[in-house]
Amino acid sequence: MSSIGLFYTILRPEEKAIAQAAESRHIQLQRLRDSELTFSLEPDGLDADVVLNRSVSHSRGLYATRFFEHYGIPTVNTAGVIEKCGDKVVTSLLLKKAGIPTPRTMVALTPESALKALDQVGYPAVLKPPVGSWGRLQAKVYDHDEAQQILEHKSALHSANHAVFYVQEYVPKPDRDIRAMVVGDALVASIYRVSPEWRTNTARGGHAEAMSPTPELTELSLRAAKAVGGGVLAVDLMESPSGLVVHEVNHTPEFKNVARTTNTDIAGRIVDYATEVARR
Amino acid sequence: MNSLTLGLFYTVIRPEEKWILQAAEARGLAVERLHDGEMTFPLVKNGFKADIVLNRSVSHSRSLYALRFFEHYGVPTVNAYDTVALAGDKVLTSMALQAAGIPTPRVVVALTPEAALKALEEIGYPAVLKPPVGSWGRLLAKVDDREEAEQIIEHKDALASPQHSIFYVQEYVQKPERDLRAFVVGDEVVAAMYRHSEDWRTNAARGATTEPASPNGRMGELALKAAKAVGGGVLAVDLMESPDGLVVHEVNPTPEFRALTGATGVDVAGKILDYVAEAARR
Repeated sequence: MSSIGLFYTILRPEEKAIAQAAESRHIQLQRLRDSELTFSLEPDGLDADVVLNRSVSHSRGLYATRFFEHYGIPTVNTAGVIEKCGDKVVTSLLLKKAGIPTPRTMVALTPESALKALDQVGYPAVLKPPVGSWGRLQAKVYDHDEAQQILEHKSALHSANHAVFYVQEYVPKPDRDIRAMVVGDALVASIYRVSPEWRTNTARGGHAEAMSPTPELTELSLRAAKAVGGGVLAVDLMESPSGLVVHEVNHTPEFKNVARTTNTDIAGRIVDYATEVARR
Repeated sequence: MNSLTLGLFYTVIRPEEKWILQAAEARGLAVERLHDGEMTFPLVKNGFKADIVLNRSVSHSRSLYALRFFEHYGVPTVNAYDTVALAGDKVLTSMALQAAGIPTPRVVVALTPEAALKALEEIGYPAVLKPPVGSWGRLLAKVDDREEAEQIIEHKDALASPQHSIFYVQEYVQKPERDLRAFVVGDEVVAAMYRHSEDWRTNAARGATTEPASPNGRMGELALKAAKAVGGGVLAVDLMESPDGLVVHEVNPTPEFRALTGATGVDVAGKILDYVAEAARR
């Protein structure tokens, strides 16, 4: 094993932990900054054995991993996984196809049909941009009037991502959801994210609490990870009245809070997994 | 097999879609109109009965999402999702053309404005800067020097759109005042034309004039290879006459063909319908 390429935007605690984990394993880490690289059609001098994507930008991560793969360098996660998890529509289709319990979802491609989709799913409903993180621009919509107002504002954004409408049933859940970190074939840690707000993202002020995974949680999160292609993934689940449902899978997760709360060396697990992928 | 129902996924009925509807009628095919602004897509198939869907939406993103759903429902589509995703993105198209050994202009991609400037310098001026997804030559820029590069990149940055945060930089190909468009349906180049324009962008939508071209020879061979490289189907392959010979620079997954039909007299809609009917029976 000679080197891991770390494709990154900024060195957050997660990336620093990854760099330390590589160093303690005597693995050379090549820093590949997303704002400095240029990609030609022919490989030009990059000799990493595997590239670990940690860019904060979904589109940069996606294009870069496609180029690395085009050059014949394995990636974690793969471009295919990034494409599937980065888009909630595609994730929902794959979860459904794999028979994994997931909230009822409907997609519309114009504001007019989005209103129809919201009426069909029923209120309250949740409206999400298909691509996006940290709960940004997600709306819990209580009635038809509110739906019209939100849709009008989305249209004013003139953005392709806000011109596709992902409508999901609102799942009545306790004041928390579950995040399960999967690396390869293992569930390495899981936490509750507790928040009085319906969006429980820790980036929005939700706080993390340790939990011990039930067999149901382990089974569902591993199946969800597999359904999107597997790798280093954070599976988000909710406790619905009829049991656990998976609503999202994150392809380049932050894991500082999970690692601290559960006292798990997630960075180490990720580096070990990347090493294994490079050897395949 | 006259009970076949063709789903036409569309935005507006342009001349192309009118011809498609006429060609379907002439072949005794039932058509179910699926308007992209009216459909809603649940995770389980509901509410339409088409045996195959022909995508004619003018929106690339609507096309992509709808095709995903149709395929998820087990309904075959023309073009296939993978083809539209690949050909609809200039970055992916360039990679596929290069991997297939098809002559294509030199390309460097950058993911931030800072790196884009570097990519432009690597390619050299004049260079062409394109959004990876887009049609009709919209927001393409021919950049003559570093100062112009800085200004254009600053404006792209101000658009705050993911599409304009990926910078596709291509060498400017010294070509005559025309390029070539070859229309591929399945394994055949059904028609081809020159597009003449004094503007470096030769899109018919930008006022280029057209003239029929021979669909055979080196051009036909390259067009078929390019269509195959992106997965095949109904595709318009764009080529340029570079000093070193023909190069393929783009493949369009949901092409207009009014100008081509006018220039060549070929019944492109009929060819498409025959291909779709055959695909449905596969």
